[in-house]
Amino acid sequence: MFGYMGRILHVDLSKPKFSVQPLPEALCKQYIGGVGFSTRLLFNHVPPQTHPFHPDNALIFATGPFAGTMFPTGNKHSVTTKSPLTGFIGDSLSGSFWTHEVKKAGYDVIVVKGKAAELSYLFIDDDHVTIRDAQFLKSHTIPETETLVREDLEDRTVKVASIGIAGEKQVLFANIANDRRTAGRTGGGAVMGSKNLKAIAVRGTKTVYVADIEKLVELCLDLYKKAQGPATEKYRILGTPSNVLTLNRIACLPTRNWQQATFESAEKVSGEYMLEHHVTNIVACSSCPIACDHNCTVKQGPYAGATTSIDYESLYALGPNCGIDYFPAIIKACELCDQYGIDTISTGVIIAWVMECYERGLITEKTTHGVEARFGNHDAVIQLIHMMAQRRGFGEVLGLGVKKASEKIGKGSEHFAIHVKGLELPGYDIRGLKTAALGWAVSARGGCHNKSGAYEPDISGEVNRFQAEISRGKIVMDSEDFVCIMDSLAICKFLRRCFDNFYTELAKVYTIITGINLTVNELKQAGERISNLKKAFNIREGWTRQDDSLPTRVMKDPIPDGIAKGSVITGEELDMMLDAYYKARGWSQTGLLTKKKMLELELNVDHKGAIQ
Amino acid sequence: MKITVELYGIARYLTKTKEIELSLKDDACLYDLATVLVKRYPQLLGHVIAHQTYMTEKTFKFNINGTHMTQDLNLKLHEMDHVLLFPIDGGG
Repeated sequence: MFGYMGRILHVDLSKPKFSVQPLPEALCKQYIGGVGFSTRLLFNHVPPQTHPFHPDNALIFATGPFAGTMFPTGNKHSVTTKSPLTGFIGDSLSGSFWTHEVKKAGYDVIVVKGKAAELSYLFIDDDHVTIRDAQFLKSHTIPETETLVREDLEDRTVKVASIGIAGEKQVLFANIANDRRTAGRTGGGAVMGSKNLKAIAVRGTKTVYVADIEKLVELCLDLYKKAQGPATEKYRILGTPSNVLTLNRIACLPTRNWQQATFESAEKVSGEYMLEHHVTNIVACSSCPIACDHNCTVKQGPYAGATTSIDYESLYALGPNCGIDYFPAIIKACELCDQYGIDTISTGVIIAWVMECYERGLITEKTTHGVEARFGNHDAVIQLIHMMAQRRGFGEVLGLGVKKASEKIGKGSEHFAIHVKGLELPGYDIRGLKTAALGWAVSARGGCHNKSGAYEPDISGEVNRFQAEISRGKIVMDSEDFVCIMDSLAICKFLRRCFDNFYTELAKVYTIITGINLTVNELKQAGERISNLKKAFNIREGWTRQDDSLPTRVMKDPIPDGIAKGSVITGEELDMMLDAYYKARGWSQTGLLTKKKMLELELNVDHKGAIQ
Repeated sequence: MKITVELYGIARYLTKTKEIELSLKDDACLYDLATVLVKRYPQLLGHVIAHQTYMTEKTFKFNINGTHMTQDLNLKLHEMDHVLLFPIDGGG
């Protein structure tokens, strides 16, 4: 095959047993790769109602058809599983050298099931796959694990994806990291921990072949130029933290657990401030001409020596959302999250919720084991990260995520637990972004900016962001399907503005690389098919319309400040937009798939609960 | 009339300026403002404001008083308006 390696590696850690399944060509065209492949395989290989930590749950790593070629940003992979945080589909993307190595080892997808008897790591050395003892890796951080695995294999070039201590402890928002990049959201790291799998090391020596290399070279040269032009300048120079000042100006910067939408100290936590005071170098993922990864270091003060890369979402969650305006503390907090292997968004949102509970007197220092959890107290942020990542003391509850933690603490704290379907929300105050609010509510993996990008029509002024309208249903649907294509081709979203005609150009590239003829309509339909299959999985696992909701605060407490003052999403507005979205999707009014839609998309979901 | 221009993202980075006040003719429109702006900050051209047309590049828009995004260069401005040079890409 071209583009694809044509092989799925199945790993059963319980037996242990390995097998290779040929990649069906029909799967390629219908599900493309990445998230498309892994969603289909998750649906097929995980029995209904499987507990996320049961050995029957699958952890699926899937590359895209462009990985291993010269296509810019093509070295990405998805990690998909039944999420322990939400109970629904959990998919998250990472990328860089590990992805490329998986392709070179000869695989498009790795499906991991079962549970190893002891802490282990998987070594994929081309066709030779082994499970190795990992007791020596126990309780090591992610960077330490990468180093120790390479030492164990006596090969510095081996690529490693691993979990940290939080994954071992099954913190429900633990992540999986490789090459300083992270499949951050929905708790894939906890599932990996439940399987006693500490790391997957890969060494590959094969070649990814391309159907028409000359055309690909020509096309990529043009794309590389565009990727270094104005379309990506923001990411290359200031990085995503430049969002802080823009979102603050339009009152969309969630602050102090979403009690405000502007932060009085925004300048001190801005991308501009970061660039001037803390950025030491800017690095790129494998095969990426953009280079958005801004590595920051603390030079002096109590957190001197802390170093990590900072993105907007981490900055929002552990900065303004916790009332923190001391940048070195944010760097330290992000560094700890990266070492322990926990998602920064979930972590920051949980800590902000703790702080509000504390300030409202719902919990005391006795509850927090001595931590004075006030907004702005950066020492408290650091202490709480240690506690939750190790599931120590109060951290035992916090490691369950904000939804379950608020249910345990009760006392009305559920009102300000900021999540959708159990997934903590990213940094856009959706009360003043009505399209985004719908996108967050219906997202299959829970509250998320990466699965629809529905904030863009609001922020760019394509629509009136303060007004809920029926038209938003179709906008969100199109946006979700668009993202499914990007996540299935497994390319970076920061490349999206480099195309003059997204679908036409990508359908052409797909054919050039794989040799498989793919029309624009077929590509679009693949996006729709993947969106529908995610939904079918969720319905099978118990989804109802009530799950497409928003945090109570977003629906009851109007924004108190800034130019979005007074904005809120009412129940009527959400209902109206949900109806419109389900209608646009061709689903029933209760949000269930219809037989007609299933047949149209050749979905083949053999489960009664998913279809009305 | 006096118009305040706020610069964000790359616009601020390139000009090293957060905010400036411009004096424009009374019936000025957005095109007049863009003309004055690129004369003062030619480094915006090709990055934030497009050559020749003075439209914003596709990652930017003009925002009037924080509430209204526009690319309509014929839009009439009003005394004391705040015009934001505003990046429209999110993501993080």
